[in-house]
Amino acid sequence: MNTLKSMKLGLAGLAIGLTAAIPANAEKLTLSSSGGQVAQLMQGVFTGPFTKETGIEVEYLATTDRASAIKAMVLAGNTIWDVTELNAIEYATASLSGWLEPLDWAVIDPNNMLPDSAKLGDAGIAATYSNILAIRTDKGAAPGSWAEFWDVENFPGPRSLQNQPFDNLEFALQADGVAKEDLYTVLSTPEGVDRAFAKLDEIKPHVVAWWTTGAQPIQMLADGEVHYTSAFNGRLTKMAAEGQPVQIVWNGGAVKPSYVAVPKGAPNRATADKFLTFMLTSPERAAGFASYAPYPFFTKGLYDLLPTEKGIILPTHPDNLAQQFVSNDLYWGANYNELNERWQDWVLE
Amino acid sequence: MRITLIPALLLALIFFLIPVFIMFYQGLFDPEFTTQHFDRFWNRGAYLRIFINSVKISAITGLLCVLIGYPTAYFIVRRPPSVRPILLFLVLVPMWMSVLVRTYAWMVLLGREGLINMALVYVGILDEPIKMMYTSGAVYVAMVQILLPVAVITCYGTMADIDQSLLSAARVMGAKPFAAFRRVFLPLSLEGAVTGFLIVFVLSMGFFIVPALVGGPKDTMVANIIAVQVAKANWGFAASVALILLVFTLIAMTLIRVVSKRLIYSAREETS
Amino acid sequence: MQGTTVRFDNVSKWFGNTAALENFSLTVAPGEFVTLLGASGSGKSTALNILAGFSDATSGDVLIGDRSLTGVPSEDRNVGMVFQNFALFPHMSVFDNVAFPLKMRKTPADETRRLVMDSLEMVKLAGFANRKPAALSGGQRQRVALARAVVFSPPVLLMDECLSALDLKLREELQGEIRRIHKDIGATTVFVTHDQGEALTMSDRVAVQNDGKIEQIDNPETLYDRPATRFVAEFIGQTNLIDVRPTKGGVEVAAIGTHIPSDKTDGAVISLRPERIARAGQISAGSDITQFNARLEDTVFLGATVEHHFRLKDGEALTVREGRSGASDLPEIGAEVALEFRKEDAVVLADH
Repeated sequence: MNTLKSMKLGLAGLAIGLTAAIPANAEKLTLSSSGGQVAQLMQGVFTGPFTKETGIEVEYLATTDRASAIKAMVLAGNTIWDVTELNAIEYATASLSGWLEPLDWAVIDPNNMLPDSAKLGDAGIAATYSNILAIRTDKGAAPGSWAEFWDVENFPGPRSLQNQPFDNLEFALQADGVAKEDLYTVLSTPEGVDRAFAKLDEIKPHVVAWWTTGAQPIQMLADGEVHYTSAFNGRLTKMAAEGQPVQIVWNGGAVKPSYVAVPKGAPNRATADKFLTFMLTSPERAAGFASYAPYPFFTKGLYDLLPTEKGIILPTHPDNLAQQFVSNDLYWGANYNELNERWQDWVLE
Repeated sequence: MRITLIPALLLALIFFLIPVFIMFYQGLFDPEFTTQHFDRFWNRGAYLRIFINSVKISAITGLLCVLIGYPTAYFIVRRPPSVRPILLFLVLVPMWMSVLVRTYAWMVLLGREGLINMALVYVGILDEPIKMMYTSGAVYVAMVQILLPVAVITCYGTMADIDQSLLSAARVMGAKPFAAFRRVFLPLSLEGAVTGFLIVFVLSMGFFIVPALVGGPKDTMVANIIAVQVAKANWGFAASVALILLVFTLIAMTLIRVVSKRLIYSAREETS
Repeated sequence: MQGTTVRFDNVSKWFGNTAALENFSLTVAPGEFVTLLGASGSGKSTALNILAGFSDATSGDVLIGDRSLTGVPSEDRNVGMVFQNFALFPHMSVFDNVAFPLKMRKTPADETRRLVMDSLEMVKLAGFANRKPAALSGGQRQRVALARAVVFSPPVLLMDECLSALDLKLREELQGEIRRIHKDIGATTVFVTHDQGEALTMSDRVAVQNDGKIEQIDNPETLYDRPATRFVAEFIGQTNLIDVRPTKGGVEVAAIGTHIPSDKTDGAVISLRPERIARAGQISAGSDITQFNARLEDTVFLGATVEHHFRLKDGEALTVREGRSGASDLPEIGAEVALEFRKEDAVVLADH
């Protein structure tokens, strides 16, 4: 009896609580992003302070396969996300299919805190990581560029690359002498693609493994399975800090953006813009995020707020950024199927 | 029809048959009727090659699981009834561990500077570490380890149903131990082995993370294509590949069942 | 065909600290039909399993003819066996089941065919050769099992509770059939059962087993008329056990007030079969008869016979069975009735 009573009271309390939390017509925001540790970070650095500052409640959804989800929402005419994080393939798919709202950067970034390269017509670049050349420093000569990665005579040893066409075609073209500014111009022609694959033919016999997840190249380097490999920067920094003989070569690396965008038909469009401003244009908050995760934003002034030793290990640090190119995900979105089919054939040959 | 089955049938209809139908529809209408997705699958060498490779990996995994699982189940079923549950429990224990954890464990074991290589070099069997990771061999090791319990349990199920006095009867009638096994036990338990193979085969066809983690470049699985296409919201192509996988698996299962029925039948006839 | 001697020579089988079989000795003559009779746990199946080679004796030896079976695997013992649950191979036809022992002995095909058909003929199943066991009735399955056990003319035939799975009518029918086949083929037969009626009907001799030991081995008549132990008297048929006191040259039966002569000095009870007691005056004179009174408590109608339950003067119960010819003059319940029996029909037994 007592239990029942307290349950009733509890339910009533819950109902009151809910009504209190969401007053009628109150502004609210639904954010779709990653789960796990990223979710904690996002809530600690962005959504929590956002609610505190504006009084706008944020509903945080941990999501995956977001392109499929947006497609379903757009087709059903019932979009529930206001802002979503998108990875490269998701952004390219959604953007090329027209499932994203155009963004007015004059509204979102009136103070020009983001470089133009991070302000796309329908998305902003948020966190970034890099796919870079990683080397074991205790295995003899240390290559410093993709050209030297390709030079198996002066830099012998087992190698690994990702089992994907993206980044690798860019790396191959750089090894073949193409300047990083011209990569996508060259790749836009069939001859340019052929040229990249021809260059890849040269290195193929020396690639002992084609990795598929970010943990693999790290593991292979640690195990001595390979001496040189492409890899994501985040975990390498940790490895080097732990005293392992590994090193990042920023030269020729690919900056891999992740995006924030507003799906077509988002219910709280103005609030979404407010949140993008809050998230992308504050160097303090960008520095807060970057000090916890090695995935920095492009926000100007970020590196003024980070200690040098913390900044210098990040992909968008001016010293590092100058040596790298930014992945053109729209190019890949448009050409992925075709190039991936060719890649799969090529790998299996 | 039993009324108690209705909830189960409803569940199957809502959560299995209707989604399968929608998938079928997605593969053929995008939005107009089209065979483009299927054409793409057949006409681009990569997909067919990956498909055939998946079949090969799954078939070999199935065979290995049965080759190891059948004798294991036989061993267990010949123990006293009090010991059997303990042995079965031991067989099942690894299934409580995440597939990913077990796969990463293999990476640690099989790596160039992994435990096995280091041990072999240390005792002098190897002069220098050999490549074990990122090979098809590693794929089979990891997949067999994950799916073996399924084969053991399936074989055990059929074996436990066999009246053990049949073997005594065969012996006292003049059959040597192996003859008693071959003419009595094997024909009666072969069906469990075939079922075990089929279940492992079908489960393997859906694998992709394990081969991707420990396998070489040629160990891409068809489920991988589906995952990539879903990530790209390319539902039509993903649905087509899924359908081809489904239809192929159904046909393969039926064929194997029919052929194995024949084989079991003739194995039994042969004893006459 | 000629049967061969089967001999258990001081065989013991221990499971941990318990003896399933203790100093078991038994010789079965060539062609003899011997039944091991006992309750479950009496060791009868253990003895058969050791003979068949399914388990090893802890000590002692088993011989077929002059050949010790120690270390000889089942398949080399050349014995036929019928199992309790038939143990037919479900994936083989009746023909293949019966042919199995011949095939294992590499008998030529035409010879196999002839022997199998003869065997099936013998058990009246010649028309069922192509059926699978699943398509047969219980009785037919047992006949197939029998045909399979004898098709290779084994000198020794073992049967393990092979009728207990069948219903009564079928069991009686098969009992006769097994007797007939045994006479035909002459194999030395060891039959195991817990059913004393079956044992008495079928056997040349019956070994009554209790707690891993043989209580008595004798032909059925002796076993019934002259049980050697109190256990056998109670296990075989129905009997009255009346407490007695040993005296010089016999025992004193206080409840009846008589003296029974006996060589036994440790007599504690007498066993008196209900049908050996009659109403006074019905047993022809000439033998040593004793008479006494008892009060009738109840009469039970059993068809061909009636059973009277009496109470002796010291309160002990006594059962008397008589044919129904005299049913018309049944005594009244509660009446004192004069009864008699031949002293030679009372078997004096020790109390163990």
